[in-house]
Amino acid sequence: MAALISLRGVSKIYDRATQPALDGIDLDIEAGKITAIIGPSGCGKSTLLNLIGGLDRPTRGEIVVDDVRVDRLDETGSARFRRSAVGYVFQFFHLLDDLSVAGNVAVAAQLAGSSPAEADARAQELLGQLGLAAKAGAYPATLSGGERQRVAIARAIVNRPTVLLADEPTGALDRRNGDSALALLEDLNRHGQTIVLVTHDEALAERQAHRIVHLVDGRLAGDRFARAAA
Amino acid sequence: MGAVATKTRADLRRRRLQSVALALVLFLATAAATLSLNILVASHEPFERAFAAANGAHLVIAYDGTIDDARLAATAHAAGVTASAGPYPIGEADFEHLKGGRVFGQSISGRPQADASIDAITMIAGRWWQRPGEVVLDRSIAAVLEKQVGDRVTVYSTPQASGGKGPDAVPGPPEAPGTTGPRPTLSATVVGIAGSVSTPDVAAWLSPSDVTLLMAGRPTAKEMLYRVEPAATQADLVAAKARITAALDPRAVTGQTTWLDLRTSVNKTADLYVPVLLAFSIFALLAAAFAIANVISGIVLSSYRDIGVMKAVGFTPRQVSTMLLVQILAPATLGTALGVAAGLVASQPTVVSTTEAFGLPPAFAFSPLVLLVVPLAALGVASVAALGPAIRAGRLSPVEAMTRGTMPAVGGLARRLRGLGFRLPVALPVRLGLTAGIAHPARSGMTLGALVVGVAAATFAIGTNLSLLRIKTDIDRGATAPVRVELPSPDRAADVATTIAGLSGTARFVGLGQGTVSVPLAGSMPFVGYDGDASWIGFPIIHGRWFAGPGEAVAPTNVFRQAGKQIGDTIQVQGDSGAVTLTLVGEIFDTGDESRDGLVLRGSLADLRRLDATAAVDRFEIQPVAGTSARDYRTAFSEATQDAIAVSVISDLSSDADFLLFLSVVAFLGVVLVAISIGGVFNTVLLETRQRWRELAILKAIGLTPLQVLVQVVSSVLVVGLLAGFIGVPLGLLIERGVIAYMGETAAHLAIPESAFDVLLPVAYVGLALSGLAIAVVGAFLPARRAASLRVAPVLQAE
Repeated sequence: MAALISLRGVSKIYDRATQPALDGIDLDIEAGKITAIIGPSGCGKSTLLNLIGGLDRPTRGEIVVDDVRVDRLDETGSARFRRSAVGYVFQFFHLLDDLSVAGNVAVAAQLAGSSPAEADARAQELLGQLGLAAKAGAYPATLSGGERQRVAIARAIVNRPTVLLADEPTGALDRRNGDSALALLEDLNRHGQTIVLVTHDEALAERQAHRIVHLVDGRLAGDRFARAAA
Repeated sequence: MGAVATKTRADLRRRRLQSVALALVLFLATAAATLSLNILVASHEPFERAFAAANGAHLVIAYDGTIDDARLAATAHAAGVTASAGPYPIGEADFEHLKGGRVFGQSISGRPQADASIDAITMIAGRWWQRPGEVVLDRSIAAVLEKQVGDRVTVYSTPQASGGKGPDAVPGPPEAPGTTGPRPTLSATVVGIAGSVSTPDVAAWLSPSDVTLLMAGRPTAKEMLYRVEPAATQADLVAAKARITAALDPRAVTGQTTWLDLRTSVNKTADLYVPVLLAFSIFALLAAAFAIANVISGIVLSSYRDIGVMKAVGFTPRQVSTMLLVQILAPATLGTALGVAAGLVASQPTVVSTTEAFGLPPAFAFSPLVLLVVPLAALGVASVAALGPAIRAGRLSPVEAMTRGTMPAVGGLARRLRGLGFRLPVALPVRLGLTAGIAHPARSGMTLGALVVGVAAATFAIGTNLSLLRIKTDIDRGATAPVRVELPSPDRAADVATTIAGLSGTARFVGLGQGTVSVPLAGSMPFVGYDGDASWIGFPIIHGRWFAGPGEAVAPTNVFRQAGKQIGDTIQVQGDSGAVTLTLVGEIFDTGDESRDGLVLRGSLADLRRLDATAAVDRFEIQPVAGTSARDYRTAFSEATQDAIAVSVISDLSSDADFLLFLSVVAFLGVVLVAISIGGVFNTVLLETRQRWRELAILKAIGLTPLQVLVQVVSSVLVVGLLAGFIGVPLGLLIERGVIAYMGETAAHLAIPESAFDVLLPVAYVGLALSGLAIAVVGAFLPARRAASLRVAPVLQAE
């Protein structure tokens, strides 16, 4: 199967740093699978995710996501790319505190071109599916961590993105809420959503991912199929 | 204190841009306030300062020129006289204008030396005259004639033997036989330009022999200056004069001026500047207060999380409060110090020119009180705005501080407003920006305050300048009756009228005569009678209409006020030859030469003759045809009459330099206040975007483009910008109206015609209303650009 995401010779060096954050990464990621990127703290996992999502640009190399040369996009292009092609789930949720739960989800849909009414309807639908219908009018500050992460996931998938990027999605959650969030991601994957998951937890990666990519000091140190692929 | 200093320095470095912006707002505000107040103080009682510095003369007495010099010199020994100068000859002469024509009837003085012990002359340029053929010009006449040291000037003996104009004029001796031929002229070198406190009406000083030459063998008057003790009141001066002239014939004195008369006149003019400059000072400090309060409260709010961490580490509440205050007061103090210095320097040219405009030598540089009050006020505002929040922040528990720093401080009202704003039918970035702008009503209110002051100040500056220009045009009547011809005697009226009518450049003209009449309750005043239709003469009508013929009159505001009359009322006017009942049909804006303290009647010559049988036409006012300049007409008339008849262009009799300088100061202050408003918006939006950095990063992460971020940030000030226009413009116009009305009342007890305020086209009002929006957008642009270029990954990962 052709790769949905392809990286060739990707390096990232931050502002005169002596050690590259990423060094010569070659990687292909299949569509429809959960790919976990693991490694110790500071190994470049989040940097790799940011580059795939167009939040940052590589110093060298090529990145192709769904036939789009992400590394060549300017700021405007990468913003437009993220609207429809990428859904982001952050460790600390990063919800907009001044918007309601429904507003947080709807704003992403509106950015992608939906009318306010359409966006609102879509947001309500998703929130209902995620068990948050009753919280649609609430504000993020009043939600639990687990609820916030579910809102973040709803926002990430509202535009049916090509790929869902999740950066330590359970890092700020307790075990129960973390499992709940992972179950959600698994369910999305069963419906065909491609997911790239960054985690420091190898056991989690083993449970959830079809494939595990191991990074150490910015370089690929391992690439194998996981039990979930079986 | 080491930890406190370290942390404070680090915070100042981290908030460099904000510190610079805060310092800039204070700089502009204090510079504007210092500039305005320094000029204001210089304009307040300028005469007293200049008089004291120059050892001014308490009494200036003119004597009959036939009295022996020795007898006049002996008057200096009268009791109470502490210093004196003179006697020396004085007279009148005409000066040739650089652009052609002459300036008529200027006072000349044969004062031999600039004695510092009494009325010390201020040499502005060059030196005092030393020999015949040299002349020292007064600053004002030098500006009118456009002469500098080293230039040649031609001075003519005046054709009429008049001691002045108006009802107080002392009629001179009749023309001596044999003087109908060419009049004596003097070609002199300008060796100096000077100013005199006690004799501001003197246009030129030259040798006594030159004065005698120009007076063409007619008896000259002689002048002496006196300093006396006591001299505080008019009674003192009357008594002193009595002692001085006790040994002389009662008819020996032909004229006098006291220092109290001069003081009243100068200070009255100076008072005109008071409301304008005071308004700008208040504008400046208000604008700064709004901007500072907004920024400071924002700085404190944005520091809460930091405060929580500091307290958790071990900083005491007092240390935390101190750090916050230093962060704010350090840039505020720097900005204030530089601003006061800049305002002081910037005020100097205007301060010097202001005192010179009053005919006074410069005797003022700065006011220590202003240098104390402005920084105290500015830093006081900054301290008051910072102290409360800083103390509250210092007292917060670490957990509370960190919680307030990480969670949005938006209450129920703000959320409801944001919810409403998010439903507006506009593009998403605009919607996001509008909701951000209205989510903090208190902050938006202060931003609105700063913008309103900026818009009001700009409106005030533009409106005031245009109104003053219109008023000046009305005063000069330059468009309607710019040329004046003065007859050497009334019996020349018929042939001069024929000459005027025969000139191709004459569009309209009318003859004028004048007498003195009495009006019940208002007292004595001039009556100017017009020999024909004078409705075109150019006095703006405030109420009513111009008089149509005998039995009617028009008058300025003070006549109505003093006589207790309204339009349509009749007055019983009494003259030397009889009484006439006149209907007051019009209130006019009248600053003509004839008006004394805002009192003058204008009507028909027929009525004037019934009041004063000796009255006759003694001058003409002329309107040239379109396309003929007043100066060209003057030249043509001079040629037609071989320079035998005095003709002048009214606007040539004064210099516009000081008026234009005042207008430029007003315009400059308006610009500065707009800059302060822009600075205030810049600071506020900068603070807002810093507080919303994470939110902006999230929005960019989910797909907001840099341009959309810029639009969002700028949109946050759209509502306050629009509101500021709709509030600030009427406010500025209202203040302008009040200030101009005050100036009219102070200067000449005059109401200002409505036409003076009708100076803006409708499109200008629209422009001014949108100026608030423009100021807001300009102020928000740079922080918006900065926000648009923020890098998402570092911001989100820093969380």
